Amino acid sequence: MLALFLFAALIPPLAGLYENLNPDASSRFQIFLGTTALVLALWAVSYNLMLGYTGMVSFAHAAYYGVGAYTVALIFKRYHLPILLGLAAAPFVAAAVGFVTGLVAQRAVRLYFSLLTLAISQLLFSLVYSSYDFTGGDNGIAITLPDQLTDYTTLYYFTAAIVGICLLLMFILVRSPFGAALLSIRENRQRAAAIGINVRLYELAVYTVAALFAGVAGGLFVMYQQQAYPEMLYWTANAQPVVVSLLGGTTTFLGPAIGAFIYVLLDLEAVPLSVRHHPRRHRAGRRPGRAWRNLGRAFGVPAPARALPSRRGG
Amino acid sequence: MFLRLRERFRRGEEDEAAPAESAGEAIRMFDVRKALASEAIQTEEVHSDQTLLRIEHVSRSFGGLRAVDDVSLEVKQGDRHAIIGPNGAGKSTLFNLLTGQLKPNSGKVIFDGRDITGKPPHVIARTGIGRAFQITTIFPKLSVRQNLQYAMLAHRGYTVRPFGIANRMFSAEAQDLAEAVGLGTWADLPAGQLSHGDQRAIEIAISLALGSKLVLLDEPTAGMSAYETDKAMELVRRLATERHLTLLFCEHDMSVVFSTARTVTVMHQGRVLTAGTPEQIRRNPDVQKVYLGELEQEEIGA
Repeated sequence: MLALFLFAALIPPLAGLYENLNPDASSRFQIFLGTTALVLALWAVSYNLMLGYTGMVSFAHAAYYGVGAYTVALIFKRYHLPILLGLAAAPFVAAAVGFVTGLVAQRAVRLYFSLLTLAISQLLFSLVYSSYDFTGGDNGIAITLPDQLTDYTTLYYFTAAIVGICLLLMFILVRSPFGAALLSIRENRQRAAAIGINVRLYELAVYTVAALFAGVAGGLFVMYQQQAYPEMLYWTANAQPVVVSLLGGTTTFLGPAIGAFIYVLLDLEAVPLSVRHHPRRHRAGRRPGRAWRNLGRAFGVPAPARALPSRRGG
Repeated sequence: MFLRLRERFRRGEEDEAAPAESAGEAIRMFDVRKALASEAIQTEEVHSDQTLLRIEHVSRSFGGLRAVDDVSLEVKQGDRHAIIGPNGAGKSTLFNLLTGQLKPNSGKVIFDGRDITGKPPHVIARTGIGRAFQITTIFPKLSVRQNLQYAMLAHRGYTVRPFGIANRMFSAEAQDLAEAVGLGTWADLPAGQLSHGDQRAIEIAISLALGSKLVLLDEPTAGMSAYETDKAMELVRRLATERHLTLLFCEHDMSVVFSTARTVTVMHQGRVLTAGTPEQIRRNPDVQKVYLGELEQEEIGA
């Protein structure tokens, strides 16, 4: 855990160093990526409270992330209050929405629970998408940051501090007797009930807590992206915390956080490999040479070796 | 199916005739009467006339099938009460009604002076009924000690706490309990890696960790070898005596029933056929008909 915090703290200086060595690189971009990874880490770890610790598969986690984001954006845009007030309110609004919708989702278990959360997430999405006057519909809401936070490095450390506090709180939670109750529910619902645990109540509680931290993550997302948009709540957006959790491993507390860093790197490096992202796909057809070269670049193969697998010589 | 039952029934009879066969009752090798007399004294010590669990006219049907039909029975404090009956007699359904997995259509369940009819499982668990399920129900990926620790935490209502370190709470108590059921050496292993018999022992230990006054055992020896059965039932008898537990169990293995139970209730097609001491039950012609009479019909049919 300490190693990850240290790594997170060292990203901006390392990025600065990298920029000095390599004039092509932009430290601002690296720091931006670091911020993205931190927010994603918080989002995924909060999702893993349900997936890894309680054995609940929710498809509505993106909705609470979006609710957090819109709380920040709306408080700033519609009520003209300071943005930090919005950030403070985001977890509580998300938790409140999580609690109410959780009450509905709790009426079913396992697969049926998952399907209900899917419906809930779509409901929240269409609510945001269609109330054009209030949320701006598909235009989303753009915000401007206060002057103290406009610097990328400051914003990075600001985000890192909040993410760090949230991770610490969640870490205390999963080691506590409450966390023990969650684990026993994951292991065996029937036995958990037979030792006197009110399974439904604990599931609702963890659902609400996860929504709370997702709200924080959503609020931070708005801070560094400076906008909130309805796609954040769309059900496909929920694939992100799922994939990130599975990528890093659901059985350890920090697994999803590490997964978030891997995910951001893969997103940057591997997406251009896809044929569908080829910039000249329509004109030149499939060109595997380019893909091979990018794959090589991603894994640090020297340039002459990268050219070899190409049929057309790159 | 019925052949097996008959065999078990007969095995039960033979056991009583030559108790030396069972390793767990080696003491009877020397003097059967003396051993029986000592057990009678023991019985008197633990056994009281106070009723711990009373079931009053409980019924439950699934569609048109009356799985449990107007069942009434009483379990006395300190008793070891066995429920026997052929498959489909309603034993497991009755257990599910007692521990809240199912709600009865009618009737009342009174435990320790409190009405627990139709309460959810976690509430019933808190009032002091522990249960070992027919299919082993433990936390397989948690260590044996954690299994017991978490039960202790839940029983004392500590699981609402979002702080503190759960794995350090009740660690010594859990270790003691694991040793009491003979699993002290394996306390750090994931419970799911232990043998079937040991997993059943964990289940019983979880009931003890909950401080249950009444322990329900749903076929405690199902799927066990003869050696494991002897070992497991010896453990159950020892724990029940040491900790003044009241046992209610259902079982197909008649040797287990007649070696452990002090009261036997026979169920058949959802109803209570008869109840009494093991000796009375064995001599009851109706019981013999349920177990053996059907067999003849079966043979004629085949």
